Amino acid sequence: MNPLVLLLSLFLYLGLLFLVALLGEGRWRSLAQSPWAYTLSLAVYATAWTFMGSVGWAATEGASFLPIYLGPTLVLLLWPFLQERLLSLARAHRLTSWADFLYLRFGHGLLGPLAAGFLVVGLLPYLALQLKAIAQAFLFLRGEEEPLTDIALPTALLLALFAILFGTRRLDPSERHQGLVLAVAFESLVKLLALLLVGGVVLWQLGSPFPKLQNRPELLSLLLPPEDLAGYLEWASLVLLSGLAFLFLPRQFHVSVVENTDPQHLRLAAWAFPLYLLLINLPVLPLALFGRLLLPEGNPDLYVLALPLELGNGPLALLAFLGGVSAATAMVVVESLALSILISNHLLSPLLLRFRALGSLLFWRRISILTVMLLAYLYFRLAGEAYALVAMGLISFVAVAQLAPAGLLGLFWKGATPQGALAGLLGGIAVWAYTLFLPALARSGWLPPFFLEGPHPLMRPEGLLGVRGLDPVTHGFLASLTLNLALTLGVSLFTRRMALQEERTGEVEELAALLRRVLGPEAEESFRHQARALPGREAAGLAETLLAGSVGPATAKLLLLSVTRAVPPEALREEVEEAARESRELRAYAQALEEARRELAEAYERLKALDQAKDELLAAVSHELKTPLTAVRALAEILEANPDLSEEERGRFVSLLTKETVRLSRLVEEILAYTRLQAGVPLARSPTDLRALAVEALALVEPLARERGITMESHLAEVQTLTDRDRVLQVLLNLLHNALRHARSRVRLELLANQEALFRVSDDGPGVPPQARTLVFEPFQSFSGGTGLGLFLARRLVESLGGRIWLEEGEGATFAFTLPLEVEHEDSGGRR
Amino acid sequence: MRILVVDDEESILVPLEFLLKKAGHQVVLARTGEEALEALSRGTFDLMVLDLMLPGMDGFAVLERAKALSQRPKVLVLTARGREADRAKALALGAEAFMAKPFGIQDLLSQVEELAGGR
Repeated sequence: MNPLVLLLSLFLYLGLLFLVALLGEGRWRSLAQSPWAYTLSLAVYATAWTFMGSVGWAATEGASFLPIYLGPTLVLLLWPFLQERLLSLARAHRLTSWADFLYLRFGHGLLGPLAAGFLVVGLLPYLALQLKAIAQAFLFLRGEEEPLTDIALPTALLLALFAILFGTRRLDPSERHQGLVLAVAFESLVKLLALLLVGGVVLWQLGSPFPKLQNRPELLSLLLPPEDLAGYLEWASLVLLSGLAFLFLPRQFHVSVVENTDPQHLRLAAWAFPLYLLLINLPVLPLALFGRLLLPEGNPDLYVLALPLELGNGPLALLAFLGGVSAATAMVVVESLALSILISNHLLSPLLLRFRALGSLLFWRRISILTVMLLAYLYFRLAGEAYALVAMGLISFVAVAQLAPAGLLGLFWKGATPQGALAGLLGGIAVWAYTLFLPALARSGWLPPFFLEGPHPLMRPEGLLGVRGLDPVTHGFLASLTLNLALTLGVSLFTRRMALQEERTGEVEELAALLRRVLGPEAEESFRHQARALPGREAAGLAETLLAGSVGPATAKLLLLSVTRAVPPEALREEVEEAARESRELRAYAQALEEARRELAEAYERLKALDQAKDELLAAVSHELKTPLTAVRALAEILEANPDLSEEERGRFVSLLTKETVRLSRLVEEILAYTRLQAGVPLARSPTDLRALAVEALALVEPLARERGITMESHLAEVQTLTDRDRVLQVLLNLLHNALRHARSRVRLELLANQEALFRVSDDGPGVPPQARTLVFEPFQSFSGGTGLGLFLARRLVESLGGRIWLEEGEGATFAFTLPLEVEHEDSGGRR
Repeated sequence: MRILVVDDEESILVPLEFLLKKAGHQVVLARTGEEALEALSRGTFDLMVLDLMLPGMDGFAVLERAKALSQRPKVLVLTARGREADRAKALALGAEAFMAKPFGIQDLLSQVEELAGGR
């Protein structure tokens, strides 16, 4: 065929793939999320190895290719038990692979990286096989067989680009990739239709192959069931192996679990996928038989291409080629994406975290896709036709199956321990390498033949314990899986089940900040939204889940360490709560103590202030007393020493004496009132005629006014209220004395009644100096030679009666105070 | 001897005036610091009996102003505040003697005589 046509159709096909993926991301999104797309994407299981290798296998080994498809079919029967559990786990914990699950289930730091690294090593040859299939088919159709020209390299690069474009848009690989899914589903459809068409056309043109077998007994045997025990064992183990591979292949996990948008899709897949496998296998046997009949010299793996050419049907051969390409590319894209997630989440991200470069994880994931692809290509170029490549499909299956004991026991058996899982996995890997991988390399001549023979006949790699007659894959599979399972079970039984994984708790704020740092503001937003009402423990769990999906579970755990603290296991929790309660009580007790101490300190301060006030009072009082006492003493001595004083002088001295004693008694009254107030003597309230009280007060100060030549004026309304009359009188006298001391010629007393009783005492003196206005009601702030208690007492008394007192603005000094208007309650009056 | 008595209390001024006059002195009375300064500016005095607690300009201010006079009278300070600080301040401002209220007549008269004799 014209290589240009081939090249063109190959790249056109790849271009179509990009287009389908783009549409899946956009307009055909709902189609990509349909159950049919899901079911078809599962058929990524069928690779180029299925498309071309099955026919080859059938042509040489007979019907034993069928177990490869029987296994998945049987697994689908178990799906209701297995897959739903896995799906809900994956959804809850954002699992992206079985390695994630193993780490989550067992919490052993080594399990994730070990599984990831092993899968990469085990699956690289499988990827190489796909590239080889494309290259080989291309060369065959061109009409050349050697050398393998590099159609594989540009294809690999294009596929890497495809995987990067449609698989690593976002950091979170547990996001769905609709474009990718749709493209894979499309490819599944293409390869099925291509194979069915090739088979159909061949059958239609050549008729049934079976009658032609009558005289070809060696071909007839291909249709017969196996004869000996080894044959049955091979069958059974292949069914099991392919079933396990279907479950544990990274690309299968990716399409069946990670890309699952709705668990309901499983219902369709449960019958439609086995049907797909049945359909795609229908043409295999006829094609194989016709290949053997018509092309005895041809490469059986290329019968699918060779038969249409033999019929002279170029377009059909091209279609078969594109079918093979579709089978290979779908597998390559999904597998390389799945492997890159394994690499980045389990191998790279712990490293990146250490080097503080976690931000570049997405970049490194893309790099790993490219690296995986290039390594696969390199492997294919180096291995070429070697056994190491040809047999690699099943050897990879066996590698993948090593995850099964830890994975399935981890899912369904509580007794499985991390030590058991690790021992099983390590043992399985060792046996796999010893019985399959290293001999394959030795068979290709890359290792000395020692690896085929082993150190002892009982240790022969392809026949451990002297077993003979089993094909290497069956032998290696059974040996590795048996040891793996035995170790997983045995070690689990003999190791103590670890206490439930340590739970951690943290503050939503800090967790959100961490998510923002690692995953960006969108993730933070969604976390805040979900974690709003969650307790710290669940919020921490949610944050870990979100992180684990993107950076891998181990790294997520490490990241969380910084912003969370451990929650004690159940047994300890009670004690811890007890301790917490005690510490709370202790704290409350300490608080109460502190409160008491503060109150004491305040009381002490108050007492100290009171004490100081008393001292000041004493000083003020003694000062106030000294002046009249001096006068009294002097006057008395004069009177005594001068019996011959004139009547006029004597009268003058006596009246001065009287005045000073009145002053002294008023001082004593004030001091008593002050101490009564300080001691908190209760009010003696009685119905009081305020007008009469005002008249009484005016009468009391009348002598002083007369002496000073001051006119008293009054304007008194009729007001009755329930109050302590003695206190009101004291206030009035204080204010009037104050006014008389400062007045030039006039003092006025007013009594008004509105909502409350209002007294106003004003004088025509110089008024209160501005700097003293705020201080007039403070104790011991005399500005005029008074006790300094008068106005302070007035304020305290008025306040004790429920009124207010203030200094009004204006000429002279005007003091006003109010008293509430109250009437005696009738019932309290009745009781008296 | 001419004596200026400065006090805002009538009941102090009256007995002091009586006693000092009886002892043979000329007595002038002032009820405020301002009145005292006015009296000092109008005539000379041998002695000023000065109360510290005065409304408006107080005794200390009068002392300070009096210091600036060419012919300053001797000063006997009277106060109800017997505090040491007041006594020290008064003496620092130039007062010759200090008496705390309440005082006896004889004490006062002997103090006055002492100041008169020291002249």
